[in-house]
Amino acid sequence: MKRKKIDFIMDIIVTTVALILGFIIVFPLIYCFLSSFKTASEFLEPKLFPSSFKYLENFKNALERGNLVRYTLNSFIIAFFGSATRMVLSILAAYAFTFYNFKGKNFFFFMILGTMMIPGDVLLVTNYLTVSKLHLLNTYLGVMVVSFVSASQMFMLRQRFKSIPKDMREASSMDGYGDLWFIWKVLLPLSKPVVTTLFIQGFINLWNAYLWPLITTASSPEMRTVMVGITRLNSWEDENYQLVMAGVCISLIPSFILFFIMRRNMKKGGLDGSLVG
Amino acid sequence: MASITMKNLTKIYEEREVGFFKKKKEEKRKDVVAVKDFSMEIKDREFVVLLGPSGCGKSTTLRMIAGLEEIDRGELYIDDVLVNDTESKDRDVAMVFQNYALYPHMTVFDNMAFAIKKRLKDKAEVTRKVKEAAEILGLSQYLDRRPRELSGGQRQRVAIGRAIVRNPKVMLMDEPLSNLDAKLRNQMRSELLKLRKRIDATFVYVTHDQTEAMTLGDRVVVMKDGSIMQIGTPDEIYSNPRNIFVATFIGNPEMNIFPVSAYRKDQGFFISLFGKELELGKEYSDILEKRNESFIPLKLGIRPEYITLEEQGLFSAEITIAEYTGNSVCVHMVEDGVEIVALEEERRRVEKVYTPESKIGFSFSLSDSLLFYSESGMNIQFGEENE
Repeated sequence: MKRKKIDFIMDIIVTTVALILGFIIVFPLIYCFLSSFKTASEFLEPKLFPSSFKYLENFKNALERGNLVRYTLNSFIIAFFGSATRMVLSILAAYAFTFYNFKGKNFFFFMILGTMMIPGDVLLVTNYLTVSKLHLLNTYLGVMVVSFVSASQMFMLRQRFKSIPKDMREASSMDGYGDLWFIWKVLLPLSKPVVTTLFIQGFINLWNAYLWPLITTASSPEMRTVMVGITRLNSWEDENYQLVMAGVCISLIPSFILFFIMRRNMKKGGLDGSLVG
Repeated sequence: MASITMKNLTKIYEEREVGFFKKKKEEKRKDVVAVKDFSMEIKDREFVVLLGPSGCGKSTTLRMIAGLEEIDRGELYIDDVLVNDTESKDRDVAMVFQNYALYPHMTVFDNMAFAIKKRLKDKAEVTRKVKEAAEILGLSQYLDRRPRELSGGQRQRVAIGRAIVRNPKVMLMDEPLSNLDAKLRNQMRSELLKLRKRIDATFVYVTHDQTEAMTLGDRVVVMKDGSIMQIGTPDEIYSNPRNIFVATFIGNPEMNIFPVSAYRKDQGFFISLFGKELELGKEYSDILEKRNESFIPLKLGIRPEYITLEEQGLFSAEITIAEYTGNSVCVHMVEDGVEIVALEEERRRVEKVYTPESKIGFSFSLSDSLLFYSESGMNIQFGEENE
């Protein structure tokens, strides 16, 4: 009886803490959403809610004056093709590291993992020089190219692939299926949750990228991504925070849509029943 | 129609202990010979069982036939065509894996259809073939289930179905029953026997279970440390093993092996065992005669079921334990520090009780026993050299 009471109290405490933490995390979003309906003068007043949700000027201005439509499209192209290419390359690399035997396999894999220890900012200048020498500045490819390979994705995928028995590959190769067929028909369906999660994660990372798109598209305003574009809404002579908030709200939409579409694929996809036991 | 001919098949694994931080000098290189000079001819539609303890190279041999392992030395012919460098998909062989390796995201139907879809473009034909295979295996009502919704025995059947749906020339099975419980294994074993008659293929079956080997195989290949110990019908292997390894590996309980010495006396050869002198029959003494030695160290093997327990037995020993199994009793005895096991079938007389630490008499006939050379372990009827 006593035990139950303690459990009950613990439940309440844990739930409360979780709720508070959750609120702290979500609050900026809520604040951003609510502020995007405020007028310039309203924004400076110390209150959370806007006087009316009918004031849509901020959204209109952001889209028209800030050229956010074009920027969103840029961001989408970069984030989608960037993360898709990264996914394909990671899958192929992880497949080779899992199912092939070659000399120096472990060595190369540790080398790849080692690159995770180099902070991205260190590479900023060298990457910029490389991309500029390739004449890729102010192009989609120039913004995407540095994110085509990801050590962490390779690692995560390899961990997943390792849990898939090699017998399955042997069975399919005896039936005449090559590596690509096996990846497409067996490996990917079995790794759907991991692949989906990594894709969304990659997409959101690229979508939210700021510094790299900023420097690679500096001389060509129409190539900017939405994240760079939003900050431009707020110029030094004219502080338009409510406009920025509206821009942020718009920029969040694609990520949300993607997340909700992919969400059902993220459920656990086990290997139940393939093997004995 | 498919015969398999193997000539000196050899597989060597280069085993290296590579440490990431180890220096080159510290790397240990050693080659492990997994299969050594495996030569044999398998006839069309024959059922051959590769039998041996784990690590004896039986699975490696099977995988070489399947094309999943490269052949380091030797030649492999399927239907008189050299297939050493033929890819496994072009060898027309199918394999049932030990852990089934079913695709968990596909239904039973898709699992079986997947095996032929690549070759067969006609969808109706695929469906017909899968249904036919499912019919044979009694899986018709489970076709739209996924592997996880099946019992162990049913999964096993799907794994077999995936192989037979291809109608291959050669069926390879790698310990297919080892993951089933004892009752199911017996059931599947008899189903395999029935299945075999319906499928027009040559079977190569790997197992470490001697019962499976004896019941299923037309011929059994006993292997040890990568080498063939003996090839023969189950009966040959049981009643006339080539060496001590085969003799003790086959049969449960294990064959008794007593160290003895043969010596010349009068006109014949004698051995002494537990203080008794026994004359060897002509079939043995003729062989020993050729060696032209007066004293030959031997080992005498006698299967537990050939030992009769009786009061007036030729020998006597002290009972250590008696194991009753219902239809038989296995009596362990000891004499002169040597353990003797006897198997009494059909315990008809209830009053016959074997009390531990009591003396009991036993006897056996020399004609039921086998003689091996002490050094090489070879059955003396097969000559002296062990390969």
